Amino acid sequence: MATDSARRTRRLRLAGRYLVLILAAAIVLFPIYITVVDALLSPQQVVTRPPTLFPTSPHWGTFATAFKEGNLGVYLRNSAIVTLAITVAELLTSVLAAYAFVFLRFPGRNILFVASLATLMVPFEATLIPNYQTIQKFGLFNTYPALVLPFIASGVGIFLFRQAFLGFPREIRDAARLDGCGHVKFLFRMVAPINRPVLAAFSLFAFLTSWNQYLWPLVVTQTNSVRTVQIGLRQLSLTNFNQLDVVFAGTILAALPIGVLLFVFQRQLVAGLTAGALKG
Amino acid sequence: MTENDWDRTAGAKEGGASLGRHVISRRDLLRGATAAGIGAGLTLLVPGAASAAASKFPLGAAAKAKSKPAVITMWHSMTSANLTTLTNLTNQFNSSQSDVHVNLVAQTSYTDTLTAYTTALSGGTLPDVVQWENELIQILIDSQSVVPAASAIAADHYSFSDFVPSMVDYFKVDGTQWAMPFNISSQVLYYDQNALTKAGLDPTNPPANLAALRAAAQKIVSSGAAKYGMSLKLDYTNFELWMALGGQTFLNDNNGRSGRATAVTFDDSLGKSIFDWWGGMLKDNLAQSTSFTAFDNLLAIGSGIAPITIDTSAALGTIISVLSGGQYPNVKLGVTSLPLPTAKRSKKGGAFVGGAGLYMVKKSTPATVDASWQFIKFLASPQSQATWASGTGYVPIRKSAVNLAPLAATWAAQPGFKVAYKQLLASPPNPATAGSVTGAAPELLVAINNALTTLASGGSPESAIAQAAQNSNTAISSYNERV
Amino acid sequence: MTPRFIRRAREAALAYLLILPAVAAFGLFVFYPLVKTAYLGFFLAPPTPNLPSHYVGLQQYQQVLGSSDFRDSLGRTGLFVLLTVPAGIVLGLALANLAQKKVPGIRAFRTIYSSTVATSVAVASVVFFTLLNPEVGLLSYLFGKEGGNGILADPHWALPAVALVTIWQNIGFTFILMSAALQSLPEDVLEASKVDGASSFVRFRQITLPLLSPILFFAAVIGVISGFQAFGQIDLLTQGGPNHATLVLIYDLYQQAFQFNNPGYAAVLSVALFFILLLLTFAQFWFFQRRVSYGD
Repeated sequence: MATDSARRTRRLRLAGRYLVLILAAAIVLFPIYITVVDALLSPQQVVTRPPTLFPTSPHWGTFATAFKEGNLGVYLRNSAIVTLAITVAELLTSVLAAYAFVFLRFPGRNILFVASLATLMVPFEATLIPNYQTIQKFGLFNTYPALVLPFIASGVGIFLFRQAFLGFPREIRDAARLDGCGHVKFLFRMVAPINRPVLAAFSLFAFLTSWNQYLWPLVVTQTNSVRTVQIGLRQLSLTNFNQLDVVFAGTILAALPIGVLLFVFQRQLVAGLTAGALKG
Repeated sequence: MTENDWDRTAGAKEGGASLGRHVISRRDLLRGATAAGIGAGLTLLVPGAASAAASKFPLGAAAKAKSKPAVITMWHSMTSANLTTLTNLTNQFNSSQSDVHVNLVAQTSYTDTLTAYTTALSGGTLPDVVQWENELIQILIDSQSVVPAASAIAADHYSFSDFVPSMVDYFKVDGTQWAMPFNISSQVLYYDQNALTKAGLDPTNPPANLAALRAAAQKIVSSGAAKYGMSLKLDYTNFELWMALGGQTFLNDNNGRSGRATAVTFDDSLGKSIFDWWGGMLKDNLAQSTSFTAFDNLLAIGSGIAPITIDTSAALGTIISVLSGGQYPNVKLGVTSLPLPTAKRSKKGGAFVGGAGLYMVKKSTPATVDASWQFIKFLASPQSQATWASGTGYVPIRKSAVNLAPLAATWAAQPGFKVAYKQLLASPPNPATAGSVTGAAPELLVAINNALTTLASGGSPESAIAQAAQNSNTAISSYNERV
Repeated sequence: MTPRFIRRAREAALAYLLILPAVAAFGLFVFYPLVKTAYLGFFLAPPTPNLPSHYVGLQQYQQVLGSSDFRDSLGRTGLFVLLTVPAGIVLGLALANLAQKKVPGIRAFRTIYSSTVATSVAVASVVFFTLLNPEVGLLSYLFGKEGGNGILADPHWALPAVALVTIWQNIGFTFILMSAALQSLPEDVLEASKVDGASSFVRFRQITLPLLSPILFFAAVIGVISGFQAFGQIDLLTQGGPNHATLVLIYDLYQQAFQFNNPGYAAVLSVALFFILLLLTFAQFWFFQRRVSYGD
């Protein structure tokens, strides 16, 4: 008897757990679910009430419409170019700078490092207007360089990599030096490969951050030729207000690359997100 | 929201759309920029002509230039059907003579034009002709970068006798005629005739003033013909127009035209009565508020929620095509002039123009400045205006254009297009009907729209208009300080 | 020139070369603009950039920072942060805790809870803008609020609505963060407390929370900073309206600079934003330094 009731309470508790889990999942997933469903409906179906919650005859062509007429293809290309450029630049400049801060001695090393860290305290918005004016003055308004140049360096990157490089075993470094290993070789053959996880985590972080940029691309671009996908999405939602299915399809196209990337690199993502936090 | 927002969304499929917000465009037709650069280098540089507009307008310089044609760039914000019409007119001009060649550059929205222009002012390449939204006129004047049309008009002995006076007067500030009108529109009353009939009203006799409008809305609601009598778009233009129709200025110093405006005058008894009316309509659920940036008010006519609304005449073309598409079979569109703010018509009252004018940018080569004038004259000619108005739904600025083909035919087929024209034609020329001018126009837009929004959420009309006046005055004085 | 000096010089030269790109970028795009922004605040910006600007010293700073408009924007920004940060952290932690249970299929639930991390501000805002549209939005329909102006045009509910969208968009990130933190908690301490017979709630409060405090602190700091920088969702959902209900500091900045062509005013706001964030970050560090326990 006792085990029966114990089993029953256990089952009830399990059912209760599942209920809460499902409820929470439904709430979190609802907007995404609707987006996917509505992207596959016809424009009339999207606005009819009561709402259609499952696409019985999915319109797969809407994605093509969003890609071409909705210009998502162009926007994705622009975002890809800009984000890749920024990620590579930030990775490179941070690795090189961190290496110098750790393995080289030079006057002003500490000040320059503190200055690099200090950039973390400066929100981008505080520098928005002069940066905009700088871009204007160099005639770079509405160009790829305008989107990339302000972000070729990263204080986060320098900090993270310096932390990582500091942990490089001294003995190996001394041994390499004795072997006559120059700095360049040391960096690219030994330091970088060993720190691949943190390099990967940072790259992912840099990629994500720059892909999701909104304010800067908004003020510095004006035509579709350089517009990134976030601003392009804004454009789409305004011009196609009577074609909600296309808007939703565009949203999915805009989110898909990141979704795939994050899914593939989820371990690195977790590591990257928690690297700074957990290490206190 | 301006008439241009309609152009932008009209061809939602092919055009770009900006609902009056920043940085939205679909076009990148920069071919003009390079050509203009080459052209500027080719044309003869007359020594000492650093500021071509300084003393005398270089009339005829394009024809006399050694290297022809003088290539000029025009920045505009037209999209879809309007863009097509403009392009055709431009091609016609280019092929009709060999002195001037015009390259069009699309900015897609007036805000984009403003941004691109101010960017160019800090060291980029300016166009030769710019289509500039009416409300922003003072900003362009204050930029000191344009040649007043007045100098060209004087040199060319240009006559305005065939022009609709109110359309020309808009661009006259402090005695100087700064620009030529180009694409002009006005706000009109749109309504569903069938819904009015259902409510027991005479569709051929739509409400002529605010009191009648309220009565009509009451009948519509109580008869069950629709949920609301009308949609009131949260648009400051409606308020400005009612003030003008009532013969009152909006700002002091004759609406900013005899001197720089320093304060608003719209918080007088007429303005307060308009706010009272507006607040009352919303409070009594006779009207619904719709957003400034969306087209819900027009959609509401189609869906039967609210069969009356006020919006720009430039939307008419799109509305007609949407209705003929069969989505709203029960709607029979009626178009009429705006209801007056008072029962008794004010002799001084009249509507001011919406839209944009064409400005000549200061350039160091006289040939290009003259070329700009030649192109502007072409666009302002009766035949061009007939073609333009017919293809776009804008009203012609030349009185003689209404009898020319293709406009005469278009208007015969769609009499609704005549409403805005007649409304503007009937506007007596005076500071009130000329429309207000201030560099703080963007801030005033926000201030008044915000005040109207408080009406929409149940605020009192007295405090709303007081808030609008206070914020507007602050914005105006802060702008004036910066000049 | 001793050989040692030459070696050191060469080392320094290499070092400067390596840090040059980063330092140049920081100089040109971070430090110079920071100073320039403060400098811009001393001038009344002309209507267009080709005209000269008037020097007014501290007058513009006084005018802007002393204005009720600024106080209101600041208040709204603070309110927005208050609405998004605590709720976001609590929800993320609750979900993470929920998803710790080892029931079959929990992996799927974990993926679902972290899914919003793939959404950007633009994606989330566009989706919700459509869902909340009064005419055709699904959420409006479900909550029976069809017609009218919708929640985004309601002066009382616009800011909470934007906050809700922000919370939803951040749930994925917070969930992942909290999950990682929970998973890194020392098993032995948790087991020991269970054996001691403490109730799960007490356990959570006395043991888990203090162990989590570093990550909670991190989430709070990040949350406050990004809350102050929230822009995209406001631009897409309400554009600062209705009637300034969602006009947070940074949107005010954007409007002044790019819609009213008043970079002088906007510069003052930029400086204010910078110092406020600096202050808040230090305040948080100071406030939490005693409460955060970094276990030994």
